[in-house]
Amino acid sequence: MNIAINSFVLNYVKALPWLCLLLGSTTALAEGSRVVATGGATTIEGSAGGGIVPWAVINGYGSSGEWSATAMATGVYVDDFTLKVIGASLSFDNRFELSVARQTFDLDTMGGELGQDIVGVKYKVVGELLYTAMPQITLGAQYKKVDDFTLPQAVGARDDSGIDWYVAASKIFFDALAGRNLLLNGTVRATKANQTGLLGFGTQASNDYRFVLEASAAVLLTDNLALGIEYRQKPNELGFAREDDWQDVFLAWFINKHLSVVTAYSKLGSIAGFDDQQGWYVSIEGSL
Amino acid sequence: MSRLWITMMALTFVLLSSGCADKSVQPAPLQADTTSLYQALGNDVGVSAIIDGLLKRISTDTRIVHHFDATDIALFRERLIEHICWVAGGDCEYHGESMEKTHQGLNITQADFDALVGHLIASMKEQHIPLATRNALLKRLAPMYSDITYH
Repeated sequence: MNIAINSFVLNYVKALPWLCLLLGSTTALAEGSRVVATGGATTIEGSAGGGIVPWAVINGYGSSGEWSATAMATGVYVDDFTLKVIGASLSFDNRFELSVARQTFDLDTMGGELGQDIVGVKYKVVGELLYTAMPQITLGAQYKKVDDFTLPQAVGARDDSGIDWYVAASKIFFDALAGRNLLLNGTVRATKANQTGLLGFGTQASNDYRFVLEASAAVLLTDNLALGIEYRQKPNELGFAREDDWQDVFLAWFINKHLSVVTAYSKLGSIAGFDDQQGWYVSIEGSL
Repeated sequence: MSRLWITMMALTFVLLSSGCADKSVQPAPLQADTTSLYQALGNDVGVSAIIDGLLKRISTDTRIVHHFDATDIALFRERLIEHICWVAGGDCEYHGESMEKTHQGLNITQADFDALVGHLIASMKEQHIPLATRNALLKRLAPMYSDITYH
């Protein structure tokens, strides 16, 4: 665990220059007008959401006519693997979001590492998370490209890059559970990615998109603290090893509009032949 | 299929179906069982303190204060207290115009609305209004977004 924490700290230290750059170059940005926690956290793929599921929310706290920027570092420490992510996003008008994420996936037991870069865009189509009966609905895309195609190709992947498309619907229901506000999110994703893209895209046999369902539910215990669950269905296309759906239970602390910390316990199932991968997820995010 | 998965899908269904539900559903402010919200806000004294805190915050917020340049603040305060009382199910009569009419031509943006919500929450917290009471009031005010913004 010490090693895990140290490597998380190291990961965060690596992300600090990003954050400083954002802080320095965006002094024109006032604090966003949106209510605290409504920006959600940032997923391992860089889009605003929970930990593994992109939500319909736009990153940061910018409202209409306002800009927002975020930077984050995340570590996921399961039995035989470690996923480290750094990412940043820029949002405008509580409508557009542009994000980048860099993933490094350490094969702790097998040796070696995989990695991919992800560029995401998100556009709010309709609805306001807090205010309208219609849930907030966004369309998103994530372009992903692996660093080194050798291993993904060896296990049967067709391409070293791919695009995920998704539509997400999110809504906060006020005073829904024991006086607490409840956030529900449902996402439908079209993807060719094997293990989110770390093992490439498509297979030798098929180049078709698969549709998967993802969902999250969170209770805002206080204005700043959210307890929730997430489920992410995954395709299972590569013949060499089974791929399972992912799930997690998370606690997110939105300290203020500039800093949030998320911890989660994640169950990632079988990865590359290593079954029952479970472990802790830690993420820290700064926003302007 | 795990139970969690089924639960999550049920939640997703609820969420998606809520968007297709009848959008004319509005909170019913004058039902008898809702008087407790007004009481929970501290009746006239409590609501007045919340509104005073809200006005104080608006007066120093350069993002939105210009919307009130031509406003008679004393009258606005009175109408606001009445309106919150009425919305919270208190025994008050609201003498003002509808939300849509009072905001006509003001071009209130989402950012303006968000800023006001933020100030209202901060003012309620200052008055030590419990979370559940705050959320119950916000639940009744939130649907007014469409009547207030972009007119």
